[in-house]
Amino acid sequence: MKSHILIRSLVATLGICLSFTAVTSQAASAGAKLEVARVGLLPNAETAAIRLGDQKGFFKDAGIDLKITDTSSGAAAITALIAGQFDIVFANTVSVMQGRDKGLPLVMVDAASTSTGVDGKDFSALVVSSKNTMKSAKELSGKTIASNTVKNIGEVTARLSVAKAGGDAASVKVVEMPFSNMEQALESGQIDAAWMVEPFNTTAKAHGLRDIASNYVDTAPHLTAAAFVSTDNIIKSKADMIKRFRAAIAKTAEYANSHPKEIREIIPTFTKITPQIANTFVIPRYDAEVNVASLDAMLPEMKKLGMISKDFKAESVIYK
Amino acid sequence: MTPGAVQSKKPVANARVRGVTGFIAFLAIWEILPDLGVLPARYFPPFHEVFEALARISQTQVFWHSVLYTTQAWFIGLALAFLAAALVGLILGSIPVLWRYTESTIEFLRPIPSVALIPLAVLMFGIDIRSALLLIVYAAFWQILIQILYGVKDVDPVALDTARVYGLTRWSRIRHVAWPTALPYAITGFRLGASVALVLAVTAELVIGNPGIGHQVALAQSAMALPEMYALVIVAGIMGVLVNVLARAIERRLLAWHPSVRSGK
Repeated sequence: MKSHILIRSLVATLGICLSFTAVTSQAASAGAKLEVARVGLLPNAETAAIRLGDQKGFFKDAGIDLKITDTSSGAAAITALIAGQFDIVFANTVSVMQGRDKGLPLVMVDAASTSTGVDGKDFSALVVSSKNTMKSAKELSGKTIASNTVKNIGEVTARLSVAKAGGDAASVKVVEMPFSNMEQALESGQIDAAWMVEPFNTTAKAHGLRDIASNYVDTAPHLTAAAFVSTDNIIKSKADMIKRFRAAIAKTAEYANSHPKEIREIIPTFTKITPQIANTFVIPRYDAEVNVASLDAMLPEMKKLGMISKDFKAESVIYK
Repeated sequence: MTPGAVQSKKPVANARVRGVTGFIAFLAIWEILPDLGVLPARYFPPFHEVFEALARISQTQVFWHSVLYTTQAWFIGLALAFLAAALVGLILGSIPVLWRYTESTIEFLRPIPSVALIPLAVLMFGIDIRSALLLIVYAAFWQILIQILYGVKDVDPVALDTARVYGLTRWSRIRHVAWPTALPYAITGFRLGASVALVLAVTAELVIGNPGIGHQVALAQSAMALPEMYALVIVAGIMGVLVNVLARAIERRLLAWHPSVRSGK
């Protein structure tokens, strides 16, 4: 039938369009025997190191052809990982632990981004409005804090921050709000504090708002905020590739941590963050090793919030 | 030229002038409100800043690739939806028994918002144009199908009986009696589907992250690049207008013979 042929030719056209991009990028790396690693990354400063490492050729040297696809959220990335589209994705450590606890076969292959550990100079902070007179996070007891997603790393670490300052973490109300709306919500008094990550907290500070706490620093020294995540299946079936990926990440981490200028230069190339902001905002540490103690530090609060089951162990989600 | 034609031209010209004047006034108000402090300039950049951002991004390759990706997803999705809906619509519409059996199912599936299928789409296809196509086809398919079903139902029974008496086969009856009657409905469905397809194409890019204008909006939002974000939103709006203009042009061309189009001229 005519329409049937049309559908088929359309599907074929689509196939050609899709494979065209694949063919062109394959041709570039033809020759050497590189193993492809399909990686899903959020386009943010926390994934700058792996992109820099790729540019520096650390992955090629390790025999890996890194195929990077932008993802829109950790949830979408993990879904696509489970669906088999990716070998490794970037996701925050709390999401990964929750997923593992729910029965998803997730494994943290390496750390992706780590808190600077410097109070007042971290890439994550609790921000209050310019009119706010609070002195510490203790005063956030009973108040409303915004987070981009509830029951995730922002909420957990914000509550731990309040508790560490001597406040009542359980009395804090956490509401969900996109990062881009928080500044306005703070200034209009809709919320009392907001969990912001870069570049939002630097932009907010430029507008007169201020940090009241560094929630990652309050949670643990050098908290592992995000990780490169794979699955039980992939680390078995592609064991060699994962090993080589880890070797490249180790090299990347060392290079990235000692070349912040290059990190700041690469950020505007894959995000819409301007070079001016990229030169001034706080970038994370790019340690390769997952700080298990920092994950353990979040578990009691996660259990209190009913985010994971009582017997969950952080080691169960770490690559061995 | 007939006197009638002269008379009918003037209001059209006037309408155009009014439209343009209204739009310029809208832009002027947009430019002034942040300056007056009615809207906070930090979150609502005045028009000239957005326009500058638009001029800047329109010189980048990424921007035009994004426009292309979105257009591609829209076109393929709409074409698949239209072909599938035309086929299913003609079959169900011309075999009443089939329709009676499937109507309840259609009425159940039709109201499911396409965006609710995003997790399913990502699970099936990952962050890929196919995920977007699933959403686009699902949303546009029902819009078009319902129109075609009503179109086929609208066929004059006398004409159909006549065709039968003259010994036309089932296929010929569909081709020469049902299809011409259903066509105006199908075109309406196409026009509705075309708009919905664009909405879903941009939504998929925003939420799933496959490349396109929607993904660029998300990127601008996550970098607090507000003038650029609004510029991209405007581009999405312009694409919507173009889609509508295109659909109307196709409608006029294909239905030139139809009373509704002829009388409108």
